[in-house]
Amino acid sequence: MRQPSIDVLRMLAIVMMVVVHFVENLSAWHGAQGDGGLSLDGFWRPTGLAAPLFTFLAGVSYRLWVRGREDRHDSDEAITKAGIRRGLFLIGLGFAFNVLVWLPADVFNWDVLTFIGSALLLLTACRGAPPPVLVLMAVAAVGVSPALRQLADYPSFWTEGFYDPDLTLGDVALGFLCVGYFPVFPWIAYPLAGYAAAPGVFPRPGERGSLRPGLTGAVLVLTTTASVLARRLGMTAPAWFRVQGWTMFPPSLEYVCGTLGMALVLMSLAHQLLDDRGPDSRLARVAGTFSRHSLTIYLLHHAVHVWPLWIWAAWTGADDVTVIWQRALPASTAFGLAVLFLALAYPLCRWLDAPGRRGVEGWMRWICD
Amino acid sequence: MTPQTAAPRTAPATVPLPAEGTCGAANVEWISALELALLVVSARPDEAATLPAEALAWVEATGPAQTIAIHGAAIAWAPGRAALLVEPTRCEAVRAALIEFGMHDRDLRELEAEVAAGWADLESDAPLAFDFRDRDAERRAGLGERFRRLVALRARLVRLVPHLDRPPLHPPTLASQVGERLRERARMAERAGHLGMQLEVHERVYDLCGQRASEWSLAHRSRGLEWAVVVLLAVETALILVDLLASRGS
Repeated sequence: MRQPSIDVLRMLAIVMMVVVHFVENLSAWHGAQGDGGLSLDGFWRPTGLAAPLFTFLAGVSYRLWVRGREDRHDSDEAITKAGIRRGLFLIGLGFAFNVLVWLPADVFNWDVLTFIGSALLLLTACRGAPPPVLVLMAVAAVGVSPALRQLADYPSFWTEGFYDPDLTLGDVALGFLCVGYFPVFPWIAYPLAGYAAAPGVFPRPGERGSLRPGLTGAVLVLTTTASVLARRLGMTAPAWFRVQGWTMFPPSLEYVCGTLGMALVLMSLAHQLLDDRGPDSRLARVAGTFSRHSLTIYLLHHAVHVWPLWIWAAWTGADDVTVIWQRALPASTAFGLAVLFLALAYPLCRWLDAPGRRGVEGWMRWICD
Repeated sequence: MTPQTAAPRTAPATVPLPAEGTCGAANVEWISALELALLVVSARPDEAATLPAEALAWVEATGPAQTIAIHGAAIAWAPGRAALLVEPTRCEAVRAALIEFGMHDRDLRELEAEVAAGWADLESDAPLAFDFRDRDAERRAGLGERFRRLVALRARLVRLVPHLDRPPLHPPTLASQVGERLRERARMAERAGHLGMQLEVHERVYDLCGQRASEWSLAHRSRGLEWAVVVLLAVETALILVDLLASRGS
């Protein structure tokens, strides 16, 4: 059964993601730092929330998908096989996407699709782990990440303001583990947290939900806010508490805790406010349409705004096809195009809803389930 | 026939009385604890122990009636209604025997109904007697509740059986013989035996379910510790791996 709260949050993530990508790739990145990290220039901006929310909801959806299969009395083996197939499908799709959209040189940039595919494989392996172990895994992933980045010399992979590895086995593996766009450490904390929190927020019929996920999220948000404000007010932290600032690349401790807290709070609030109304409200219908085709929109929006950059450069005979990347249009125009894309994506998704038509999600289900 | 003079109790409006005059001056008593309407008709010692046809028809209005005629007393019994024809001097003792039988019959019927209602649960729980998995953890509370209910049913049956299967009273009285005859007609001892066999099946299944759930619980606790060790080893492996990869790259 679809949960309107998940649909609304996923739609929110899609809208933020489309806007951010259009503005980033057509206009310019905002707030580049010289120390190898990329600031989001203001922790209150929601632009850095899209990817955490997406990956968190991947964990939530996986848990509800597993529950649905269990309720249909599917065997553990069948569920595991389907989970592995889904993970491998997304990893394969992620590599194909990297080659086709970001060109073959960027095949190992470890984007969000390959990450979610890897996360599904890990969640499938950890499906039977007790909830405290899942929390321990998430905490360990977040806690060990700064050390891993230190060992791997993270800034050396981000000298140009974007991830630029050598195509060696060592760099590729380090990109997957800790220095790529969406490496396992610490990003695996989001799907793990979503998987662990889902039963508390979405209990089975007849069971009571738990306030623990929402309260944990609130504590994380408040702690992060206090930390950010303290630093902005010039208060110095103790030496043992190394505050890294609010950066998405690399995902700092503040950023991970803050966005994870926001995701937990948003999910709990959305469940309280939206799920009792049922799936027939106007908001739920619109959100459901976007949510059902989120993967299709993810692939499509990259194609429609990145390919023209490469085609234009190739058409004008430029030596480097990425010559106008991040400098093609003013930010305001890029933002307008993002809104236009979203407006056109909705009827397209409705068209895909018709019987006999499939988006990328439909093909995934057809192949994997 | 003369009217029976025992303390009258009011029958509910849903229990229609026999037509006036058809049973003489009879009295209908409503025994709410048994949900039973009891028609008591006093008989003279010289009269034949035969219930009036109207009284029998009144009893049979709710279902087939068991009839007994013994030493000048006549009884008809059907679910929810009974008729008793007896001399006034023996009326109270026979009425008490009838009510005692009614109480035991009610208890036995309740036990039978509850055991019968448990078969659906038993069928869905039976696989857990062989294999208990993580997904079944949420059913542990339900299993425990059904096991407690089963123990309560067994305890009720054990307390009831001595009343159903007791030796004949010597010297016999009319009341004791009426009770024995009613218990025989209702096959109470056999029914209690069958009920015991059914409860044994339930107990066997839920006993095994309890064992499997307990084993799962113990394994689940130790598995948490094992997982924690695995996570720490994985973190250590990641640190070593990244250190190794970074040093080789440099």
